[in-house]
Amino acid sequence: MLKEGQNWWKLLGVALVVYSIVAGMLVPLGPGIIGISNPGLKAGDQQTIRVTGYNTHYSEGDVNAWLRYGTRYSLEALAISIVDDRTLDATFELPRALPSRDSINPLSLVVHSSKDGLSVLPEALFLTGSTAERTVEQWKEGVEVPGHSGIHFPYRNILKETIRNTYYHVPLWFSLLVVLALSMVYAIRHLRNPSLTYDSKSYGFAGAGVVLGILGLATGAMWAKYTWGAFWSFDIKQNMAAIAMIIYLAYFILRSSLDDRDLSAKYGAVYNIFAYLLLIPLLYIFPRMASVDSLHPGSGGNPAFGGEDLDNTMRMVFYPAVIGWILIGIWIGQVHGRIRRLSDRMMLAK
Amino acid sequence: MNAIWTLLRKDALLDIRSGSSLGSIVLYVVASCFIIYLAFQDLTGPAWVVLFWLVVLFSTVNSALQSFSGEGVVRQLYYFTLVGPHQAIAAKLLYNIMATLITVVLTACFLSLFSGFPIVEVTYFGCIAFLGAIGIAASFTLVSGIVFRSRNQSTLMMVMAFPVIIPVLLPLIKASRTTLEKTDWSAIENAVLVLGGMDLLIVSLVVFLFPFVWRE
Repeated sequence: MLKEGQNWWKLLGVALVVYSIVAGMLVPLGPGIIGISNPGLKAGDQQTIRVTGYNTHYSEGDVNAWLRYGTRYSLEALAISIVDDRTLDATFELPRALPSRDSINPLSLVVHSSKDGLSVLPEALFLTGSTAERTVEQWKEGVEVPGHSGIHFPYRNILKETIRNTYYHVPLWFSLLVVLALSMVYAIRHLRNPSLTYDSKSYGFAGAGVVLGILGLATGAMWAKYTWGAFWSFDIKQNMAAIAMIIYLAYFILRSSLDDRDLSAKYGAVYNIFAYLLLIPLLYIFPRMASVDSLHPGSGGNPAFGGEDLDNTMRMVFYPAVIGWILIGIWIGQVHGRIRRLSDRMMLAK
Repeated sequence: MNAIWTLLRKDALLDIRSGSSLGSIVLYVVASCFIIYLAFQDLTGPAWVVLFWLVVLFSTVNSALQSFSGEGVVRQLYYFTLVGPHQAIAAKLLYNIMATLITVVLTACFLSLFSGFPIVEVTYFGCIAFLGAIGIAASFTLVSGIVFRSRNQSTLMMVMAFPVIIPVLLPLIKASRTTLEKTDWSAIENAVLVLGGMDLLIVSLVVFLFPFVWRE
C-alpha cells in the first residue's frame, strides 16, 4: 500500500507531523485556577478567598464564582472583586449546615468569566466545623453557566502546559508498535521464503522502532519530570519500556556478531519474532498487574484516554499526529532498510 | 515420542559418562551458595529469593549453551535429519528443563544448608519454581540455539539471555516472595497464570521457530 517509490504518503506524514508540532505548540491553554489563598474554611463564616488564575482575563467581562459540593450542590459568591487579570477575591457566605454529616468536606471552586469561559479547581478547599444536622436549604442545585467557544487545550491541574506532550509522546509509541509489527511481519516472510530483500526490510523497521522507542522514553521521562517529580521514578511502565528497548538492542548485537549474511538474517528473524512477542506482555500486561501501581495513565486504575482527557480540540491535533508519526516511522524504516540492501549489494559486488 | 525418548537418553548418558558437565554444575552451585553465605551472614527472606534465582540463572545459562555447542554443528544437523526438527528440539527442550529443575533442587539444598530455608509455603514455592524452570530453560534454549553459531558465543549468550529472561524472572521473583509468608492460593494465582502464560508462549515459539533455525 505505502510503496517506497511513492511520495504522497511521505509528504502527508511530514505535513501532519509539522501541523501537530505547530498546532500543539501554538494553541493556548484554556483558563485555569492555579490555587487559592486559604484552603481550610470554617462553616458559618463569611470569608474571602483570593483566587490565582492561569491564562485568564478577569478584568475583561463579567466574572462569577461558585463553590461546588459533590456534583449536585453549589453556592454562589456574594461578591467578587477583581485585582488584576490573574487575581480575584471572592467572598462567600458559608452556611452552617451542609448537605452531608462528614466532618471534613471537600469543595470545588468554579469560576466563570464571559471572556474566558469556565475554569474549575477540584477539591479546592476543605470545610470544617459544620453542624451535625444536614440541610440543603442554602445550597442551590446545579450551576447554570452560558457556553463558551474558543480554541484552546484544556487546563488540567497537574499537567498544565505539559498536556501538549500528548501529541508527541503517545504517537511515538503508537508508531513504534506499528513499525516493529512490520519488522516482525517481514521476519516471518523471510523465514517462510528466504530472501535478503525481506530481511533488509525487517532490519530497517527494527532500527526505526528502536529510534522511536528511545524518543518515546525520552519524551516520557521529560513528562515524568514535570508531573511525577523525577525523570525516572522507578515506575513499572518506564522500567518495562526500557527493558523492551534493551531486548531490541540485543537484536542488533546479534546481527552484527554473526558474520555469515544468511545466518545473520535467519537467526535475526527468529529473534525478531521472539522480541515482538515479549514486547506485548512487557508494555501491556506487567504494568497492569504490578503490586505498586504505575502512575502512567491506562494502568492501575488511572484513566487512559477517556472522554474527559481528550477533548475535541485535542483530538484535532492528536489523531493527525498519530497518523503522521506512523507514516514518518514507516518512511524511516524503509530508508534504513534500503541502506542495508545497498550495502548488501556492494558486498556482493566486491 | 520414541525418538524424543532416545535423544533424551543419549543426552543424559553423554552428560553422566563425561561427568564434567554435571560436576561443574554441582561445583558452581556449591561455590555460589558458599560465597553468598560468607558475604551475607544473615540472609533475609527477600534477598534469599533473589539470590536463589540468580544462582539458578547463571548456572543454567552455561549449561544451556553447552547443550548445543558441546556436540558441534554437524552432529546437530545429523539428529535433525534423522528424527525431524520438532522431535529434536522437543528432546533438547525437555532435557534443558530437566537440567534446570535439577539445578533448582540443588541450589535450594545448598542454599538452605548454608543460609537456611525461609520459604513458608513450600508447595506453592515448588509449583512456582517448576513453572519458572520451564520458562528459564525454554528461553535459554531458544537463545543458545540462535547464538551457538556466532564468533563469540559465550559473551553473546550472556548479552542476549539476560534481557530476554526478564519477562519470566520478574513475575517469578514476585511470586516466590509471596511464599515467604503464610498465604493462600488467591495471593499467587495471578503470578502463576502469568508465569504459565509466558511458559506457553516461549515453549510454543521454540517449537515453531526451531525448524527454521536448523534448516540450512
